Amino acid sequence: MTQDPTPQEALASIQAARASVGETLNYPFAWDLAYGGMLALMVGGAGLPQPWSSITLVLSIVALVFMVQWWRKRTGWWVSGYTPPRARWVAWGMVAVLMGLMGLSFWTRLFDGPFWAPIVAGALAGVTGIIGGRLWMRAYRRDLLAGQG
Amino acid sequence: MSTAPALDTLIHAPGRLQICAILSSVSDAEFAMLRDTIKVSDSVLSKHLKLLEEAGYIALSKMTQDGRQRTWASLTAKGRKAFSAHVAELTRLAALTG
Repeated sequence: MTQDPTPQEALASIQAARASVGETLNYPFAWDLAYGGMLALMVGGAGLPQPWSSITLVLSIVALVFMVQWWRKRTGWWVSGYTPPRARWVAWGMVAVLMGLMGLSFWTRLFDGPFWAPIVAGALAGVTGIIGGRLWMRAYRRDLLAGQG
Repeated sequence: MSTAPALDTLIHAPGRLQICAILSSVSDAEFAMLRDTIKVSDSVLSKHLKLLEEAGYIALSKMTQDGRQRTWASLTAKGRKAFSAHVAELTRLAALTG
């Protein structure tokens, strides 16, 4: 490309640069498992009595920090889940589902709900993380291709 | 009198255009990732980043990774707005000349 690109060349260059970010979006399934496991621990742990509720919360936050560091080191970039236009709706959808599951988990601890509620909530949170994470990445890839990342 | 939108000459240079394109797609990106993606030397990238930083378009921060200091860049609100306006103008011009 010349030092003074035409509008078409400049737009093509922008598209290519964004696509290069998308090329690094290939990651192992272990990432999905780790993300799902972290959410399962956070949501399921919320239904446990103290101090386990706090311990599982801290452990899940530490796990999240390590995951972010791993991603940054591997790809050289990070993006907030709530920034890309299409992908942010997947993120908000996940937040809504996870809040509901958190409520289910709290039911046992705060309102003497059944013992299985935190287990079911944690398991569903894990599945939400695995499926939602992949859906988010797919939406983000589309955002990048559409030039809207 | 209306003021016609103009291309931002600081952003329009090929290297800086690509840097802004990448940074507009992410929250922040590391120096080596930007260098490898736009295929320039460390010194050229440093110069581009310095110009963008001086214009207030990007913010640079240092993070320690594996015992080494690494530079991360992110678009500021001003940079994001300027880049969006630049892309809008490029799109308008491309439609006119396309």
